[in-house]
Amino acid sequence: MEQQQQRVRLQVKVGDDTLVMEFSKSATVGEIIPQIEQMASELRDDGKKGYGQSDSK
Amino acid sequence: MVKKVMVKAIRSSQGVLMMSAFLHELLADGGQVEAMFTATSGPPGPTPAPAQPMQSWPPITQTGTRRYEGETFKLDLDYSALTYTWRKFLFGFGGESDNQYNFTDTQTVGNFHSLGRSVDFKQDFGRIPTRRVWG
Repeated sequence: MEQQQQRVRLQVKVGDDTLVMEFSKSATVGEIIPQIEQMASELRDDGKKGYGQSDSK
Repeated sequence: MVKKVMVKAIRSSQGVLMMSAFLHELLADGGQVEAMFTATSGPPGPTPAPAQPMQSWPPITQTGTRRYEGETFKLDLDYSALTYTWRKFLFGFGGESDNQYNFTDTQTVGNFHSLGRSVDFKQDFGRIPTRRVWG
């Protein structure tokens, strides 16, 4: 419960997509940017491959 | 090469958020923000216009040397497509000075243009060379 209160859930608009991401409330704006960049990069790469295609992981 | 998506800033309904601001100070749970990008490897955007090519009048199209000499000065111009060395020797008052200028790339554009225009040297040097030697 306490742990949930320390998190904030944000709708992050990345291009045409809106992602729901969860961050620590005590994080700064600068600190969450790498996570957003990572997510945006993955989304973009997925878009190139085509959504629905599975990674070969 | 695939570039990583780069986020320049985060914007909310309040405006662009300071990097050092804490999330809990600015955003409530469920809040909306928008990522502002600096660059992506998506479809290529407009290509920046190439730098203005160096121009000279009259046109200089090959590497070489031009030498100009007057009563009180001598100027050697070693030029190529993007670089030139400009040596100016000034004589007078019983002495001589040797100014050498080396310019490269875009730094030279203005000067080179000026130099090209000033083939008669009247405008830039106040004197017309008495002899011009083409190297």
